[in-house]
Amino acid sequence: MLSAKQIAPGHTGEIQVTVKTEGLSGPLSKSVTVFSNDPRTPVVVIALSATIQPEFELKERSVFFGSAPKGKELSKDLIITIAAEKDLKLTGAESSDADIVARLEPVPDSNGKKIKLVVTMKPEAKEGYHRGTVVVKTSSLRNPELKIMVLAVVSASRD
Amino acid sequence: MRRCFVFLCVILVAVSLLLPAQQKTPTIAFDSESKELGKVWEGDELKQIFKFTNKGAGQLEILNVQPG
Repeated sequence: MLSAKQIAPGHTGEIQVTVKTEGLSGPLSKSVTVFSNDPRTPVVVIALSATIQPEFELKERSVFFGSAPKGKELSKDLIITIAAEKDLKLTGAESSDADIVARLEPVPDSNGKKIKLVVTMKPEAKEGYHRGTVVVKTSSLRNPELKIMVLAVVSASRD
Repeated sequence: MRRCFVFLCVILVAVSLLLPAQQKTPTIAFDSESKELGKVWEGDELKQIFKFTNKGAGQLEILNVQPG
């Protein structure tokens, strides 16, 4: 955001740079190129950098069960780690697909900082392509929900 | 007559050399062109103001601001 397009000699102007960090982690660098009628420096690149720390760490943001025959229960675990500096909780997990169930289990000896998310595909799941989202609710105001995509293909039973 | 012509030529050359130098041009000068914010939490909205001054004699015009 630019304060003014025309700046008189001796006067100052401002450019406000805003960056949203949802879903980002690690080193971040954003630049903005400013074009002006200054004959000596017509182009100036300004840059903003930071290191984004996640409140919740997950190795994967998706679960892919692959192709499985109907009648077989499939299950996968994901460990969610809560940043040590944060007093946060995971309050629940729900799935958008009726054939996919999600539940949270505390990891022993982790002082409540590691929680296992168990995602299960029911054996009675309908044949076909399943694409759902597991939403983990948190006590964080910054990140009230963690979304994990779940994919599976249930094929006809071999029996 | 010849001296007068040479003098006139010298004056003309001097004026033509001085004219561009006297044109009022703007000069953009940022207080800082880069900012390191250190560690921030995911979900934070980062906001940073970059201040600049027109240190030239002419009107500064910002033609475009393009996020990279």
